[in-house]
Amino acid sequence: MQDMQTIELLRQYLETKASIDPAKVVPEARLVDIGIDSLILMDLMFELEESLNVRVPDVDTQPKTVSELTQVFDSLAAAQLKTGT
Amino acid sequence: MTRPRVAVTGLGLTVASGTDPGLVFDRLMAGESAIRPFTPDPALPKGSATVPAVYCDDFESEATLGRTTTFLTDRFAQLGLSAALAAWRDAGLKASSPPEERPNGAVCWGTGLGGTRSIESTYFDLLQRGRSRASPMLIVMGMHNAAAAHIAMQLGLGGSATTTSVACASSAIAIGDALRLIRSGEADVVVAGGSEAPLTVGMLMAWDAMRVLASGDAGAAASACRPFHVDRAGLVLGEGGAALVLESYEHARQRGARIYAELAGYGTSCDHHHLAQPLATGQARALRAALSDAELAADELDYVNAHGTGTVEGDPVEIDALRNVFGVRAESVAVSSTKSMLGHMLGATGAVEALITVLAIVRQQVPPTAHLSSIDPACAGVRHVAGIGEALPVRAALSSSFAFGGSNAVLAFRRHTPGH
Repeated sequence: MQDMQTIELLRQYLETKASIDPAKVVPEARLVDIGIDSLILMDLMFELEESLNVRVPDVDTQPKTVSELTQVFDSLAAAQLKTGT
Repeated sequence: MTRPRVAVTGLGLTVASGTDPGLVFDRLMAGESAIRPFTPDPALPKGSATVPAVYCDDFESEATLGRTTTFLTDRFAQLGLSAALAAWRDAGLKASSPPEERPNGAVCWGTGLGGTRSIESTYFDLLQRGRSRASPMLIVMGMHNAAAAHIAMQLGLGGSATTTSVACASSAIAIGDALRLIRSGEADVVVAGGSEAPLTVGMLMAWDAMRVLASGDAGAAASACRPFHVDRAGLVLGEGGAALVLESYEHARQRGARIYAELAGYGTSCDHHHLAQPLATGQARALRAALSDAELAADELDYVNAHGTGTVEGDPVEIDALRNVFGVRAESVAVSSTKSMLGHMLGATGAVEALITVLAIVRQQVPPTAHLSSIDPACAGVRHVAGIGEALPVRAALSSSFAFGGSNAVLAFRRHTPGH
């Protein structure tokens, strides 16, 4: 369930800001192949952090695929639920 | 060996009265003002809800530049990139993606304030709305060289890409630098110009605090900027961008390019006197330097597109400098300030006015200083073109830009005669 929500946010963001076709944003897609360069990834992580109210602690986190990216946020959101913060 | 001559082969602009240079020029010739009441967002804290300004509400960045570029850029870069791409196409150069790589192609850009709009809105979010984080995009959107970087990327220009920030002379100096780059052989084609998007609440308040902004309600906004007029009451801020494609004559001829005019000379100087009070002797040095660099005699010069911002103090100083340089001939040199219709675009204004000066030479028509019904005696002594434009022979013309800080820049353009 959480997975679906994050990927939907991702699709919305990428379509609105970078005209990336939502149909291409599937878990196995490599970020570079769908047009997400380092600059867009940086902004995307920032926006997802804001939307999901989480912080990615490791600045070196460099997801390579859509599923790696959604996992980063979903695990953070899950940890947040558990601790109640 | 003679130095290379420099041709203007492409023109592009994004101003309130349009993006088609010919059409914008027609409107100027008719004395049509683009100045309207502007309502800042958020509202000004006190006083009138609107100020006279020039804004490009027809400009849709996403439609012109695409969504990704739009989201990566401040409005100043959007206005500039749009003008640069138009100039490139106008020059008959390929704007393909990926672009044809040009190792000797350069960008010389000018802006006074850069991404001030993005920076100001971030400060507003952080300090006023209590937001705890700044966008990671702010650095690349707010930097002054963002426009130049996007232009170089989109057009494949691999030579130098520089940005000059010299207040109101920024883009005139950028064009002057481009002339020098081509003469030195370092570049064979340069996209030169400038852009500015200064209509933020903070900027409007700061300019207003200097007591140099003209006021005017809905009915009076169009004629709020009245350079050289006896009752002129200040300048009007505007946003916009303009670009020229400049090439060595050799490069232009090899590819069979149409040549609008020759960028024949450039003169620059500093008053070394005062931050905000212009000095005629400093301006005269730049005017003389431009004429001398262009190898133009004073009696070959037919038109000056003046800096003429419409302030009480500035306008007579500029006319004094022109009288000083042209002597008895000043009476027959046509002078106008197109800021009466397009406002003062700060760092972009030199490029916009250089483009207008080129078109005056191409059309053999001189645009007017609008609303100039009564010339201030302190501004007399030149041939003011008042109200509407005039058809006049223009062999050569100057475009003047005089900045806060005392930096002066004058560009000299000469009519192109095919076969020369």
